[in-house]
Amino acid sequence: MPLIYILSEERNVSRNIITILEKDDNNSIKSFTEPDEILNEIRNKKPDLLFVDLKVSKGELNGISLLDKLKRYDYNFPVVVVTSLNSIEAVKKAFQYNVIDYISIPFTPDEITDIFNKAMEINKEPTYNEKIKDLKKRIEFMNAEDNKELEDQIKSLFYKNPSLPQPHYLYALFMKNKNPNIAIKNLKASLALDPNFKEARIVLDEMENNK
Amino acid sequence: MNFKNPFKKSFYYVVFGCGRLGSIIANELSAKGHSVVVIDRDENSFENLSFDFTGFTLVGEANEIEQMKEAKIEKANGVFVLTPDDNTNIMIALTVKKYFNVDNVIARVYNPKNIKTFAKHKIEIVCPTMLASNRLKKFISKGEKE
Amino acid sequence: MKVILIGGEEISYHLSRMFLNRGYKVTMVNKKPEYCKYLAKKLKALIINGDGTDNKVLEQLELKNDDVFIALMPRDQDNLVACLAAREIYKIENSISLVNDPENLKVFEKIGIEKTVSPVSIMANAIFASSTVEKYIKSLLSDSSDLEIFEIEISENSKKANKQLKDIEIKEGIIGAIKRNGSTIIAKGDTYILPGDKLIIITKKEMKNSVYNIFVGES
Repeated sequence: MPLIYILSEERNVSRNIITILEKDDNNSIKSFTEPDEILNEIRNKKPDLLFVDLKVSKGELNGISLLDKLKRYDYNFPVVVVTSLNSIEAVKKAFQYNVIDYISIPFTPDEITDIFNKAMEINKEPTYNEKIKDLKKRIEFMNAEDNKELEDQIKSLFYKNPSLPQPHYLYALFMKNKNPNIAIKNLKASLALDPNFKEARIVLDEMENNK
Repeated sequence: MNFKNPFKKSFYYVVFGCGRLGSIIANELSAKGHSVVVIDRDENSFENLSFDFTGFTLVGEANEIEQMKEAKIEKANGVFVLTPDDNTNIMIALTVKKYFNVDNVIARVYNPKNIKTFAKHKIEIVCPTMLASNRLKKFISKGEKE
Repeated sequence: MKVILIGGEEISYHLSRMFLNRGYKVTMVNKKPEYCKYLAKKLKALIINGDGTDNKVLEQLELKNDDVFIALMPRDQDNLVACLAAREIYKIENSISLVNDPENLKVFEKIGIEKTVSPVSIMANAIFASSTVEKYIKSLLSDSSDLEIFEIEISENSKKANKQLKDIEIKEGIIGAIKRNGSTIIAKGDTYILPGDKLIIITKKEMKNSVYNIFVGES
């Protein structure tokens, strides 16, 4: 049962999205006009898709600052921003916060349903953290056969998330026995990206003591 | 998406002109649950829209291509051309059909003689003058029979 | 065969005079009664006071299919309707329309009115062409070391006269612009090189002669 939240002060934005998406009886849709309200609701129950109208601005929070809060609290669900064509600058800012797409006003029913389908596809994919856990396990139990495939998966994580420490850590684990020097390099890179990364620190210390 | 009833799908309509007729049509489309965009050069004309109207409004010159692109006209399921001026309606209707390739276009044309201009291009027309005269002719016939 | 001018004021007046001087029969249609009176006094054309998009007025013009029909009204939609009526009802093949909004040029074409004139586009091109070429040449002259800019006049007998730029192979130089009849054109692939044109060419100094020879010399 997909849960969809909409944040907008404009009745025509929220009503239109609701009318379009409620045609599927499985969908449950709630609309809000205040960022504080919607933040509370998100803490209660995370949606499968969130529409944020960038024009919203009540109290201290506006559309962009809501996105900022969501990122800091590490909320990880698909977000789509709604904007009028005059505010391309706002859209650019929004994309720094990992929104999956933007929709400009006026929007068509097809645009909304396409974005909905895209969001549902994304929700089916494992999250980043789940991927990391899964790969770590596989490295522990790896044998010669799945080396190449494992290595490819780790490398694809590098490409997608160049500024995160975990891919370097995973690669270090992968290379630990094959090439300790490379492993150490990667652990150091990982710690450079996040000095508080405990697991990397532990493995690095262990390897340096064994030298 | 699984539509329980596929015929309940929302369509996307563009209405040029928010006068008496334009606003009636826009209100009707919105009430039926469709997405509507209404374009008019005078923002006061949007006051003709009902309180429940949930469509979008754009202020601008209806016959400008830039305005039509902003309204995403190429994605429209149907277009109503209802400005007060016949020639403007003819040009908008032809532009929408031939340049933006939208098939379902209907335009209001007051002057019955202008209907010929459309005939070749297969654009639907509503001519209030003709509709009224047909109705009045029936009234006359009715009177003659009595 | 006659020339019909629908609407317009200054342009219409001068076009009418031009056609009358060359011996054509001219009919002018204009909405303003006062202006029509003025035209009737000054020109030997047939002046009709009315709306050129109105079928009743068009019927008065006794249009024949070899007439030249020129729409010059300030609103593009009026010009479009008039030209469509002329073509579809009176079977006129030669209709030309003024188009005020350059964005509408492609629309007119799609609807089937191919002969259009856009004063805005022409002015814009003139402004951009002249300023671009000047700026370009100035910048080249100031810091060129091995580049040379020169002018070649194309004679009647030139090997490349009446050819399109895209059909002329110039490997070591580019044609920056063409001076023709007092105006400057930025040469593009489908531009024709005509006798009398002065080509502004940019090449490397050592290639000047070989580029020169491409144009000069007999076909």
